[in-house]
Amino acid sequence: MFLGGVTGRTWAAPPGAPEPGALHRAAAELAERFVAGAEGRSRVTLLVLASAREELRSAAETALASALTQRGLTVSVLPAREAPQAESVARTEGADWLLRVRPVLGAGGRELTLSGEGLITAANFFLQRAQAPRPRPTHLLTATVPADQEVRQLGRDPRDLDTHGERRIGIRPLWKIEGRVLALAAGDVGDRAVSLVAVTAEAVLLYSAQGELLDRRGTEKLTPGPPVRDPAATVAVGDFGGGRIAYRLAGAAEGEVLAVPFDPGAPRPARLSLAAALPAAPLCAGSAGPLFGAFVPGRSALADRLEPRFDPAGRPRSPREYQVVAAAPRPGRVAYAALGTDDALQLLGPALEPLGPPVQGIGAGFALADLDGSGEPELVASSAEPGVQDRVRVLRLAGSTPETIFESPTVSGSILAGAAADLTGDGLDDAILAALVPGTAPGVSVTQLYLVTGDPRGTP
Amino acid sequence: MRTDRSAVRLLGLLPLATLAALTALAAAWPELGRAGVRPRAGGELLVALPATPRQLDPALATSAADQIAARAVHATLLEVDAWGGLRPGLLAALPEAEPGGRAFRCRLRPGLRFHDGSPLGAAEVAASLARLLQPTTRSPHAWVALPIEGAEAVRTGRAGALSGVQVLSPTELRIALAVPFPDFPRVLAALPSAVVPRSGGGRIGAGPFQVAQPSADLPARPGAGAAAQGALRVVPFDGHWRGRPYLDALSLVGLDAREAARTFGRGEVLVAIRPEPIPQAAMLELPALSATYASVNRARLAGRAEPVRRALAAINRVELVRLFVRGPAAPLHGLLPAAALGGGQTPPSPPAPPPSGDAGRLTLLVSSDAPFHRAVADRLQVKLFDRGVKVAVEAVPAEVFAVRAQRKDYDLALLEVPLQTVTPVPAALQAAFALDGPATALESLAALGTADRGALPAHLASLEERLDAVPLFAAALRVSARPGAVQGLLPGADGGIDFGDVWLLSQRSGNGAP
Repeated sequence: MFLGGVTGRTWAAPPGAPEPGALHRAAAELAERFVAGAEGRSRVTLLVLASAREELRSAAETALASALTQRGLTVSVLPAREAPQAESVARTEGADWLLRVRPVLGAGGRELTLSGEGLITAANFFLQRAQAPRPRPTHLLTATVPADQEVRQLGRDPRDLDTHGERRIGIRPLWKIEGRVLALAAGDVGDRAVSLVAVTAEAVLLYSAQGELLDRRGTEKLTPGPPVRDPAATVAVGDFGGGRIAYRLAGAAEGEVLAVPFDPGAPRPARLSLAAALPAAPLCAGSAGPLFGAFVPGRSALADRLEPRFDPAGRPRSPREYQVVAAAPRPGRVAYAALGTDDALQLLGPALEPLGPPVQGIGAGFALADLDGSGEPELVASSAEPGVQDRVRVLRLAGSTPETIFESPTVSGSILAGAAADLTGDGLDDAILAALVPGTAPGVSVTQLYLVTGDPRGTP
Repeated sequence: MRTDRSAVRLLGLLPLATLAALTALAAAWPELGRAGVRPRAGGELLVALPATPRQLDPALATSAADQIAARAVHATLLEVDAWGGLRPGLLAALPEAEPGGRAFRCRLRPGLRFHDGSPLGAAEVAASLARLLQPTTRSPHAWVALPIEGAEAVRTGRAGALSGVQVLSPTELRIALAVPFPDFPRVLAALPSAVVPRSGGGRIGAGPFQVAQPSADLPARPGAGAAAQGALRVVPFDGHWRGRPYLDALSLVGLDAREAARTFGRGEVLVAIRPEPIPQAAMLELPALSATYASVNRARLAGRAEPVRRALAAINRVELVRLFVRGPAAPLHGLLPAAALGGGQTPPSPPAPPPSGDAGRLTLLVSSDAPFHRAVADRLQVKLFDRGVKVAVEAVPAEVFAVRAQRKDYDLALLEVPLQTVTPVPAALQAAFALDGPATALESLAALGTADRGALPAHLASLEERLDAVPLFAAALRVSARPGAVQGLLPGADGGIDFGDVWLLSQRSGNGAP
């Protein structure tokens, strides 16, 4: 185990040393803060309280004991089962301090927090007569660091894991939308809550994460362009200047940027308002920023233009055409994915550099979503086979070749659009897929939304 | 797919049984009718038909092959979807009926153009409707414009334009009818009502495909087999109101059953529209709307007409269909086939009447180009002989048959009427026009146009008596497609196929995990 030196409030490893794990960084940070307020007293009884998993508690106990010892303290570790009488035990042992710590894996498994309180237990004039009041208040300490794979493995609730120790992924139906959803996007649209934006040929629909229709904006006033036989659209939620929603219908002369004015004093529902016209097709937006492109005139396919900043005079890089482009909501090696009209999906890095050979056999409804908190997005993909039923696969992209980690039973409908965001509020991405299903009457289309998530609770 | 509520509303016009059949038809074709993936542009499709299309003029096309080709090249004001609902075609919305159902206001989409770039406006619609009636056109589909005010004057050459069609603006027109006819919008969805330029000869339209050049001059398609030789080849029209079709080219070629199966097996032909089933193909039967009648010329036969008619009516049509009609077919026990009327149980054939005595030797006129009509005529000859009616079968080329049928130059004739609508009143109008001419058609429309649904069967039976035609059977074609290769092939309830929606799935990768 390595513990480096202290530089101000930041723990840094010496040059050339391996990077310590998240648990040790958090322990070092907490120990540093504790030492700063320990008033030179060196005997400590350490009690690490029960966490969601014993493995995480036990590892935190070891790391903290080590970090405190490294700082010259004499540490006595108290078993968790003795928590109720910890203070008296500490006094009996002659400790100066009782340090109680609870490790918590929060923010959907992305953050490790050690929350502690230091109680002085050294004998003094007052405590000779009574155990309370203490001579000084409890010393509260916290240390939060980004979780790493090791911590996530230690902290996972076994009920959420499958037999291979992976986060248990499931698919469940959400709500239905009248008409055919051409494009989906999700994220914070400006009112500081996760919303879902669905685009049909007739309207842009804004939904809350619970499926409440917050607002609808008709597309009938869009200036028509060359008509397209198969309706298509792009939509993205991100920073588009005057608004956070941008969409474009194939067959329309231009797209729109929509704003959802945020009024902290006003409850939802939010309202969509036009912020600006958009000459480009907003392909997607994620942690690496938005991408812009253009529909092939008179077609529902996208030209080979994937541009962080749209150049109205720009030209396609190649004759290749795309069906859909998606972005990963969180930073990672894979930032974008572009699905060609040949059903081959090219994974792209943050600078749009190709990552490996194309993934074959991907349907039009797909999303990049970090379902398991691994720090890399998974590919949530529909089938590339035509039919009235579909199935969903989740492919892990971390390795050199994608690996299927989940495959759903057949689901009703044909999945034609997808999006990713934390819809369940567990801190991890979820994928939302839109499947075209038969309506209640001939000729009427209905879209069924599905949620692909590792959160056993589903949407809040 | 755009949700079309107005189309759903109009489904109420269809009999329930028809609706159920249409829904079943659409559901039976999921692989080719609905795709779970986005359409891919490109590729060329070779379609085998009973004959190579020759007549693309929607006002003149009558054979199945010609009508399939004409539908690819031309566009109608309205369209029929797979469930029988009406939806706007060249029109921006469904026509608005004025009170009484005798006039309709139509508004065209803006910016419409023909293949040659000339504008398509209300004046072209008015001219196209009048053209159907003009004597010089000699259209067998004049029934489409017959209900419009002023039709008789145009039909007899006394006027060049229909007085009932008012051009209100470049994109608006009002159509006034001679009789109340609430179902008139259904007529505007029939192929013959397609809008053509005033000088185009029927080969230029506003449909999804255009004829690039005479097919004989076309260079050989790379990789095309011998089957494509002589095919009618059409290419996408970028200016179609629904957008450019997915295919790069569509070739329509006439192949006999054996050759169609052979080329299909080789993968050269991906779609065949013929009566016979093709092995290893995904198949769909189009609605049986091609009705065949035995027409009795009462004017010529006088007193002999009734015994002959009774003898024809006694023929077992179920047996006739089973033994002699190729492809999907159903016996006709009324004027209209089930696909246009609502179906129901097939009633048994009436008992054979006693021999009628010698009606003299008659001639049964039949088109030698109509498939299996000669065999049917021979069967009728035998069965009529059993009932004392001696008949000689006279098979003539289609062109001759058409002229003689129009002039009623026959004793008996086997008349095939490719019904263009799946709604009873317009279908009856067409049948009456085809079997007995415009006067009877108009009179029938006056009785049927506003008849309520309950009285319709009686009116149709009465019309059947008056037409001196014995309904025999209704036939259909099968659409056979190579599984997994062709998408978007979903016929309308009227059997019409928009090849602009068809796209090729070939060379797509499988669905396996990488």
